[in-house]
Amino acid sequence: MPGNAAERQQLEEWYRQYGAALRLFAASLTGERSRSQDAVQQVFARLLEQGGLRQIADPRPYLFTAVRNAVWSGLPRPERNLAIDPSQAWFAPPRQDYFAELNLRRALVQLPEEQRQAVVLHVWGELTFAQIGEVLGVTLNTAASRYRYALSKLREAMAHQEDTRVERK
Amino acid sequence: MSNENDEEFVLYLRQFRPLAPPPARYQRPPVWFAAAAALLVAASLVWLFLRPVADPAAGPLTLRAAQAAVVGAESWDDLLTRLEPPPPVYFERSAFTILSKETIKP
Repeated sequence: MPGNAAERQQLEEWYRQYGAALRLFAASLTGERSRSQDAVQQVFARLLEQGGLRQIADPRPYLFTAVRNAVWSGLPRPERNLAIDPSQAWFAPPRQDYFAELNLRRALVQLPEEQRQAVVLHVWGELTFAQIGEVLGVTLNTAASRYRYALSKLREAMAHQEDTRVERK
Repeated sequence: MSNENDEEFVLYLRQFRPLAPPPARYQRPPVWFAAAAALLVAASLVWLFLRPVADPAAGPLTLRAAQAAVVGAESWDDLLTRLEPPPPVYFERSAFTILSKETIKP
């Protein structure tokens, strides 16, 4: 197998540490879990094949950028309003509240794509606004602005869905 | 919209943990898996070499073999011994051997 032992170990560590957030980020772009997993696998397989991990100063923005490129490359860009499969969860919700999990997914896909990316990268990717700007190719201020708008809309959407659930009870 | 509210909401959102991805396809199998596979191969090889093998000379009883046994036999017991298949590994004597020596009173 390609890649020396040290690089393989490093990649395994990165996969363990960032894999879940990377797949979530890809899913937020595609709406699909399987396609998102393929994108993440593609990135790590290519890194293993090409090597040169020592040249990567900061793995986090690098990996998220690579996943974003893997999602877009050679595939038709998903439509603005993603369709999600209710049965394919993206998260393990607190207290196994899968109703809330579905609400969160719905709220996320309703966001404009650039805002969705910003909020996923910051909340679950734990990237700084500078790093988000690097991934999205925008300035730090633009990244922060998109994030704030996204958070506001997300909160509003989830509050509304929660009210709907309460009314149904 | 206050920063404090934002922080609380972000903390709430982070309670939703992204699902762990499956193992990367390039990842090597765990050490225990390789060890178990090696053990299985070794055990198979040992079994192949040490398993009890039926005497190829025994074979099924044919008319020729029976005639040859009759010709060479010095007694009835001797004949039965010649025709008797090799004893199985797990038993000291075959039932045939035991029954052939049984004396039946008229």
